[in-house]
Amino acid sequence: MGSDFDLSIDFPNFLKNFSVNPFYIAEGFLFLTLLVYLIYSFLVVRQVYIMSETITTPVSFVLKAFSWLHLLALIVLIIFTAVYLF
Amino acid sequence: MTAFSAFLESPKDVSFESQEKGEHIVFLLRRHWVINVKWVIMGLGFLIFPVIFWLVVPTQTGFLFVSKEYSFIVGTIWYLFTFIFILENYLIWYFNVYIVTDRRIIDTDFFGIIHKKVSEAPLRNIEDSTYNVSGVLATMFNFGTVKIQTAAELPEFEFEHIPNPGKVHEKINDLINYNLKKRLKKEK
Repeated sequence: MGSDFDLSIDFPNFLKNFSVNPFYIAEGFLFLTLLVYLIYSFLVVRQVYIMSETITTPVSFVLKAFSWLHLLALIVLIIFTAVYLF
Repeated sequence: MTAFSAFLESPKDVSFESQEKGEHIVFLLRRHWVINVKWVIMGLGFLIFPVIFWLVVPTQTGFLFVSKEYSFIVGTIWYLFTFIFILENYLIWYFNVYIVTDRRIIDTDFFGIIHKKVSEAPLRNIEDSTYNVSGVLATMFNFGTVKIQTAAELPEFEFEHIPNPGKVHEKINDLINYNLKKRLKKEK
């Protein structure tokens, strides 16, 4: 039993030639991951400060420096990635 | 080396948030270093993985068609993740401490990145303390768990995987007796 209805969809012309480079998706995903990671890095810095307030030791200063260094390295990487990708 | 010590007796350069004036830290305890072996090995594995990868995978394979800039970005992300993995595990080990002072016991716990829990009980509320060393590693490296029963809000404190549990248990009992004698003297 054939159907009299035409189920085919007419895409607009501009969509017929639409194609996505998988690299663009990978790049977008990479950049998004870096932004989420940036939020996490801020949390780590805050966490080190809260922990150091709870117990103060001579190592606290070094740990704070490490967390800031990590955040700084990540910001530099995000800038580099943004310049390179976009 | 306070950075890697799990057993500190009367540390001079350490203080804690709720420390009262004249309160003396008798012990500052962390979990034994053996407990950290797992994440230390994982961290080392993360560090050397890219080196092994570049040695094993020949540069002619199609997989390595990405540009130098991409390799740099991915490599840097990998090492930043490794760095934060090691730092995070170290922080959790370093700041999860058990403190015994001449007035009370304190258990500071940090779970993950955003959870903090501090429990404490005055020495006068401690009813009983026991310790156990069980397992091959615990016996070899002399670490174990000290359980302290209290009449405080938290009925039981557990100092888990601490070095020299026997010595800690003994000292806590000494402190309880000393405080009891002092209190009785005052009441008379």
